Amino acid sequence: MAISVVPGSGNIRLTNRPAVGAPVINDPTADVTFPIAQQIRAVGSARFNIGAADPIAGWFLGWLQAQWIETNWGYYRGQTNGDGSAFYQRARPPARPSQACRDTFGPVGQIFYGVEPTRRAVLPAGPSPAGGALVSTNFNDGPSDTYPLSVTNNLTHKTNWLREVQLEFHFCTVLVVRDPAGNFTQLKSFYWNTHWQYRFHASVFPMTAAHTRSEAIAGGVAANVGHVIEGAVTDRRFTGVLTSLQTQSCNDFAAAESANPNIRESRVWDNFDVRR
Amino acid sequence: MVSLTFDQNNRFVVKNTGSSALSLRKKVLVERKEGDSWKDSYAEVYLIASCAEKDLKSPLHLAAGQDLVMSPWNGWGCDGQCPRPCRANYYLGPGDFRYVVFTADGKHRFDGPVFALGPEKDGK
Repeated sequence: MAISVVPGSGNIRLTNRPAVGAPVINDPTADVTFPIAQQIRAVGSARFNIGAADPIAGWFLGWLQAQWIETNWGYYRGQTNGDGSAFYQRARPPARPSQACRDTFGPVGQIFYGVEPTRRAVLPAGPSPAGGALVSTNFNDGPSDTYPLSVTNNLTHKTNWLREVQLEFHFCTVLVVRDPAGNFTQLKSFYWNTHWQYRFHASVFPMTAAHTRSEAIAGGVAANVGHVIEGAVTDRRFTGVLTSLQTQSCNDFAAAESANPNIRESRVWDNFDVRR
Repeated sequence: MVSLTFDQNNRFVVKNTGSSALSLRKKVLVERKEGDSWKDSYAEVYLIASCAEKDLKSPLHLAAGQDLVMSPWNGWGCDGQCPRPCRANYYLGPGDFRYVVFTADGKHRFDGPVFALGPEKDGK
């Protein structure tokens, strides 16, 4: 008898809805963190038919995750109009070569979102009981980002202070089985996202936590989770990154775009097209 | 020639106990015990005294007898030591861990003492 998933037994149960936190201005490190207030958590499970003699080595129940939308920009402006303004775009090429990426904690080549035993379960030895052996695995994630509190405007040579940031991270998380040959079977999935959009009002310069008010932009602060979807993912916006050969994970993308954003500058408090 | 200890405040201290200067990679390998073996946890931890240090690539130079008290790590994989851009990010405990540091040329490794991360605290 070969190991098989009991048809229809895959299940995802959301156990904690995500929530984003208000930005934190870190004076010692001169940056602003956009934290998670509540991680998303879920439990995935499936039943397996396992014969007494079936080898279980190399079988896993775990998770894949793709990020398929990234909005990520920061707008800076000087204390006065003549100090200029700057727009830091992280989510467009060349800073970010593509929207979709495979999200792994660890090397992108591991394919699974996480490989700790709690996040990638092994199968029990057979024989399985009637109805199949129940195997469970946990999922959780707390994305975040950070922006420098100030930058130097290369046109005016003045300090420009963080004025507004918009972040939107959209993910799809997939419960999967992997067999010893490395074949993945996608059981179920769900979409979720985290959004931050804040404007910063400093009453004193240099900008510090004590004298800066963060204003949440209406409609820009949210965290959402969609319903559980049966079967393999068909969304062409990111199916190509789920298990194929990739060179960078989403964390790699995020680090690179943060280190080398696309920068536009002006000698005045300008408006920039945030879509570019 | 390198001593790796936790001080009385539970801070990780790297000390050059040799008679000449030493260069170490800033990237710390954080290993987690799984069964009888140690596995790379992929945690983002660096030999820095504070998060104000942004250069994570240049080696850490320690003169003879000099030490570094590492900025603490709270167990979160991506932003557990310092704020950073994170998409996949979670607490890596509970379990037994150790810090491993390498000479800048990668030829020598030094395993630190085992420490435990407790269960994830309520919060986020």
